[in-house]
Amino acid sequence: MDEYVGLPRDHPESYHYYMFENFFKHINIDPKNVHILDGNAPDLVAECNKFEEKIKEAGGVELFIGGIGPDGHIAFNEPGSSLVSRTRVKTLAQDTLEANARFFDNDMSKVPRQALTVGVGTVMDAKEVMILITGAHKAFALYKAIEEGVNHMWTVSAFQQHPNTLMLCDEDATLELRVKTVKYFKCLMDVHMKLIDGM
Amino acid sequence: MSASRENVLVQFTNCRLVRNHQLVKDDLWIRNGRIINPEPVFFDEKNLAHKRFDCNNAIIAAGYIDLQINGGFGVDFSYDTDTVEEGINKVACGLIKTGVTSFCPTIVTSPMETYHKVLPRIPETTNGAGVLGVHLEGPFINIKKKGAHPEECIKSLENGFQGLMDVYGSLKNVKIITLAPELESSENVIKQLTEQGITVAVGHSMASLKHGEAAVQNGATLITHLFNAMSSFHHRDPGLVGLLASDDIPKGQTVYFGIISDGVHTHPTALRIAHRTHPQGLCLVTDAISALGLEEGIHHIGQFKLEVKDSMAFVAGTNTLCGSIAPLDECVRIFRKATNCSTVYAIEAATLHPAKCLKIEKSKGTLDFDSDADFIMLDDDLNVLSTWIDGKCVYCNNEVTKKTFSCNDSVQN
Repeated sequence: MDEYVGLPRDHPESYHYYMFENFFKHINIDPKNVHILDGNAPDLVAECNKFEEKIKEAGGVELFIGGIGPDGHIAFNEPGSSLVSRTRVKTLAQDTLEANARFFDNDMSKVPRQALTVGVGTVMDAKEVMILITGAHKAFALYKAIEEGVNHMWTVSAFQQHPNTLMLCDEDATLELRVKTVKYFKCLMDVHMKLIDGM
Repeated sequence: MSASRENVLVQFTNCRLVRNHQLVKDDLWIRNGRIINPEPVFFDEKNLAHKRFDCNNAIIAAGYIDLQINGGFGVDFSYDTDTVEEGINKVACGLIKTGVTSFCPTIVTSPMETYHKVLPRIPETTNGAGVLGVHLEGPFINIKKKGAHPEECIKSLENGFQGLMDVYGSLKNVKIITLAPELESSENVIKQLTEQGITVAVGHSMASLKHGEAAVQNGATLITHLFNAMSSFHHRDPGLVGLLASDDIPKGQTVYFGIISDGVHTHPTALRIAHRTHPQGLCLVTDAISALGLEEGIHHIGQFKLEVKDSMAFVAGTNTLCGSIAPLDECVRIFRKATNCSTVYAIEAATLHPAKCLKIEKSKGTLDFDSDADFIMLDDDLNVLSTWIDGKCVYCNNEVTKKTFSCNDSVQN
């Protein structure tokens, strides 16, 4: 869904590297079916537009899997991003730079300032969206995402208007939610289990 | 490189690699005789492997490197001067089942004629393990520490570097020279040899630690079979053994040392002392003689009659040992058991360390990307399951996997 601008592809913090080391090399995916934004493309805007084209050519995204930042961003759609945005070059927020510093020897000068990212609109076009949210440090963002209104300062809240979104959380991530909300969704589990029993 | 294997991408999967001083569960990718980085292949070429081999959780390590081996399988490099190419090929083919993919044929102290006859005929390529260059052990050694070398051929360095060149004739196929650093004029000789890219080793010597340190400062980087044929360690003059803990080694330089862990030539406690004192420098060598690989019984080799009994070689009819015959893979197993070191360390002592000693670690001794695809597969007991040279399987211990790997077994019987 995203990649840093200007980071060498084999840098341990590049998403190409991350995806290859942790996923692609362990499965038998055909490399021709892998598309990751190239943060070193000579024309970044063209690269983003091409990416949107590739999604169309593939027939659209079936399933989008992502996480959220503590500031509620999805991919690199930082607070303030348009909720109808498409794949584009994005300048990273100070919070994000600080959060990333630990992966770059805590040297702010080494942290990439920009990234290529799918837009909120791009993800909204996916048939199904699955967001994974774990840990207490994401709890406030989750609260803003589902118990407050749709707001471009917490871009993941846009999925309130998506027909098919699943948010997978652990207990800690629910710490800022109303007890009533958490109980409601937990009870759904019983219903779900009864429905799939005997399948 | 034959057209049939041009650019064939091979992936070894379900294996553990010796990489970055650890055993990592990862795949090995090779192409055109080199180990390659799969990431650009994935993202740039968008290719899948042409061939995939399931290694059944074997350990994959770089092929073993033997820095000191006098012969084997009935061949003696110093005496079989009329059949140099055949002899080296015979040993090269025999060594691959012991996991050795590169070696330094060693010539002991010999008459000048031997060097002039043999050195120019060292083959560049073999049908088995590769020749890294010759190890000339002598004749510039200390007569008091000659070991089994012929006394009448021992020479001094009084004629300096030119004298040395007169004796050897040419250094073209030479990789290592062992000499005694206490000999007069050795400093300059060591300097010049080092400048020419020869690895200078100290051994067969009674040098004090001071002489040893001077030799290292002039470029010497290897100690030949530590403990054997040198002054014993003494607490007021540690001798060459003291180089393992000397504080007078130039910064950034490592002193390497060969050690024979055949269970006979070095006491296990001595192995442990050497290992604990200077683990980065330890290189396992066989220093094997012509009887390596021969079955039990009496053998006539050249002018010698020796007997192989209980995996040891004796002068026939006596209990006098006449040299080592433990293959390098056996030395690795014995070493690991004696020192209780990690599997990775035991393997590195026969791969990475010798490669670094010869400054060839960019292409040999590791599974790093772009290095030569010379590697072996081992089980957890460090038995050799298969040997691969230039990306092709040349030995396999199992008929089933032999077919799977399309092993072109060049081990001659």
